[in-house]
Amino acid sequence: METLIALTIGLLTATGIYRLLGGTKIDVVIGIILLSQAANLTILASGGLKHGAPALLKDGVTPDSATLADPLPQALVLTAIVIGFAILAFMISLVTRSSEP
Amino acid sequence: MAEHSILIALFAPLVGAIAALPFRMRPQLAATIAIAAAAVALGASLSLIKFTATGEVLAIHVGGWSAPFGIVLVADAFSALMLVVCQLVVLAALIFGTFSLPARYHRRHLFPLILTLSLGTNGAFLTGDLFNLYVWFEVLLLSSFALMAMLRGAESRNAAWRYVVINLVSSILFLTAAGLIYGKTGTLNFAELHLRFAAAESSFLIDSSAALLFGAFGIKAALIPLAFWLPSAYPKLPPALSALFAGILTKVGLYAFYRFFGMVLTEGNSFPHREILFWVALVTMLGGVLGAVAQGDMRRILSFHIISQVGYMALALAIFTPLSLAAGIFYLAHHIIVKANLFLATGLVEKHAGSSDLAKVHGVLHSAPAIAILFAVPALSLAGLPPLSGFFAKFALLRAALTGGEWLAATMIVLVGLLTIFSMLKIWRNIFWGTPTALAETPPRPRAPLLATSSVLALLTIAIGIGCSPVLSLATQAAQGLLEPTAYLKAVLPDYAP
Repeated sequence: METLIALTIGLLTATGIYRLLGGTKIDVVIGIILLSQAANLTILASGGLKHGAPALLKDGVTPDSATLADPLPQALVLTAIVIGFAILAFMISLVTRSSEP
Repeated sequence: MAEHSILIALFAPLVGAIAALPFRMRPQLAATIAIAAAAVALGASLSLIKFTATGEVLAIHVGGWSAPFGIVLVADAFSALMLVVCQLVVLAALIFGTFSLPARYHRRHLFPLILTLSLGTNGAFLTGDLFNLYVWFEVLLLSSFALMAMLRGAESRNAAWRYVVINLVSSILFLTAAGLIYGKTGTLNFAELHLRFAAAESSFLIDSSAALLFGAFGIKAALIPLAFWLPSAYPKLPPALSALFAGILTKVGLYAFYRFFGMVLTEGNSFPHREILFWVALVTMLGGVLGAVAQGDMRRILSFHIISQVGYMALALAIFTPLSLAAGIFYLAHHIIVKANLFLATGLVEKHAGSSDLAKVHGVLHSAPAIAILFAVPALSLAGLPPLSGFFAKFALLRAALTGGEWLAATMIVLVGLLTIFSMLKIWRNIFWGTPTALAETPPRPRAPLLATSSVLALLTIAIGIGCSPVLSLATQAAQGLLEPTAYLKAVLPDYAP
């Protein structure tokens, strides 16, 4: 699982940089999208990847790091996605405005 | 009680921005609200200085969650000093913008955007953890993007586009670094990170993230070779906004450099940031000033000088002695005021003569001596002539370099200082001396509030120069807080025992 995520991050970064250097403004927008997705995946993977482990505590069960996912990276990545979305909307509006006089 | 000042410094700009939002068609009302909010934030920042000047550190654990698990807002002498100086520039830019910018800026929410920008800077100075620093950076960047997007013309829009893209790349580097640091250390809190890094046995924990952060902050602070977005973007802005950007934005990047590489990362960690920063700083100092020599317009010359001066402050961090850090922090405080005022003076020249092109405008000294004086004070201070604030900043840095045995650095400090004088003299000789160019029939008299704003900043420059010792002792206290962050750790971590 870690290997797959690491390869995906690498692929996203490589493609993102390639598109970022592409020349047209749409290329740059796509490059930024791909790069920020790579950053988001990095944060998500930084908490450790566990299958079927929710970040929830149950009454009467002692918390165990083996069956419990770290909730913080999930919160961080959510924040990063929201900020990335706002920036994406702003960039696209800049691109459309640049064709106006 | 003192903790409330932290919250006021954050909430005043936010509340002001929301309150001013509905009044885009009534610029006078919006301006009044915005100026009042900025003044309240300035008052809160001044009271923070009073509390932190003795070395005390104030911390708020937001929501009652104790650090390192919750979010903390921390004010030490360094953040309080930066807050005051930046808030002064915000206030100056608001007043200058009210009386100088055309109505289309007001219609597009000029005042709320300036306030959210100041919210972002205040948050960046007060936050106690890395991820929140990222979020505050985004707050101030998005506001600055929206201000940049007000520019007209294809060339300005291309410059704004480059500014947006390079800053987004920097944000992505920052975000990746934060993710990696969390993965490796399990915390993002500055105080906790400092302890983890100090206890780290291998540099594995630090290297990759420190390198990414170096790149991210380097772009924001405009260090060569990451600085070329700046001279293409800043000269396009109207003077009120370029004063705001030039005064504050690159300095927030430098603040992050000082906070992370000066305090969080400790001496023993292996990432060679000081060696890299030393050479990068020297190249930035020289490259910036040489770039300025080749320019023929006041705005462009001054933009290149931002880069050159950023090099000085980075050099102070690279030398990394108590004296050099104090000199660097003093330099930051002095430079923010001086640089903003130079752009305001450029705005006054443009209002008076219609342009700031060195080939077109001459003899302003004869037609408007007040403007000439308002330019001369910050220009001489930038070049480092006594008794102005810049002299003491350069002098302290030079002394730190000499006592540290850094002969190359000392030589460069003097050489770049001389080139800066040359560059300021070039502006003076062309714009202010010579036969006055034919102005419009009745040259528009600069309005009193514009002159007053610039005069207040000029007086501050003189005051910091003549009575430099309180500011210098505050800077020394701030540097001490970075080098030995015991008070910081105690304030943030409830169960910390040295």
